[in-house]
Amino acid sequence: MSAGRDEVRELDQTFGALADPTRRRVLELLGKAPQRASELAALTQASRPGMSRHLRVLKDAGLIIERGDDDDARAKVFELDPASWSQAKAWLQRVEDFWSEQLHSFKQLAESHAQQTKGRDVRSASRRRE
Amino acid sequence: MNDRVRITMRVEVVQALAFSVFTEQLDGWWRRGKRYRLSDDSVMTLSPGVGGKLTESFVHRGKARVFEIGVVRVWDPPRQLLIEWRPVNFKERDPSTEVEVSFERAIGHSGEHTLVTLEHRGWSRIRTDHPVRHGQSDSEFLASLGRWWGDLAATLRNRAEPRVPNSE
Repeated sequence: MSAGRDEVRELDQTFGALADPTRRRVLELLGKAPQRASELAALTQASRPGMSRHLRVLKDAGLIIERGDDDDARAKVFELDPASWSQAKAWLQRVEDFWSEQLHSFKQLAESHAQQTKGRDVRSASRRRE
Repeated sequence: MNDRVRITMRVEVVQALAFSVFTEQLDGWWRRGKRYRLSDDSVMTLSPGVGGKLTESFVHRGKARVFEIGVVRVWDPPRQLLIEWRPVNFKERDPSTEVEVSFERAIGHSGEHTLVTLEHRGWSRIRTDHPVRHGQSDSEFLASLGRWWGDLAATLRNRAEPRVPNSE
């Protein structure tokens, strides 16, 4: 389950962003519905400036996006970035590739045993015929 | 999107042989290289029976090292095997993922063969409150990353499919 160097670096940034419990809580909350920064600060009991910093880290890591609030032109709403969804999918694809390669290797070994067994059967059958 | 991967493969051997090669000759088919093992010259072992360990052993700087990767939870030869999969840097209390392998007997034109299905599931069970680790190898890093992504995947799934509660 290996990844390219750039990919690891990119994932490393994500990993760092996820290392903080407040930021993980923010992602959980945004998983339910988009929220304003002020609501997120209240729900996580973080200070407003602290929440701004957390949101910036999550945005830089590509985990969330910011858009205007339909109800209030001055406010911003944060939501999960759909692209991070595709990265999660990519992870599962990597797991699938890992097992697919392993099973091919298993198939080769198992079938080589069957060939040997068949070979032995043919040889012993021909010996019996002799 | 769900939190599992599932692969089925047709193997041209009888069910009992498929099961025994899979379990007894694990080291023979488990691929070598960084992508698959912590060390290229390691030995992979699966001890039979419930509670049996899936381990990778090798010598590092003159010291023998044994890493436990999984524990057998279901041992039903020649039909089924369930391994609790706990990559190297998982702690005891961390929830782990599961690898289930089933061996299904099938008869075709060419005679008896076996359908081997492997399912690796449970990525979304993993909690996120796990300390970040430093100095990990690629494989360790990615092993732990799987848990993080798994949780994120679950969060996103809940959002993406609000009317389909846990469709899997």
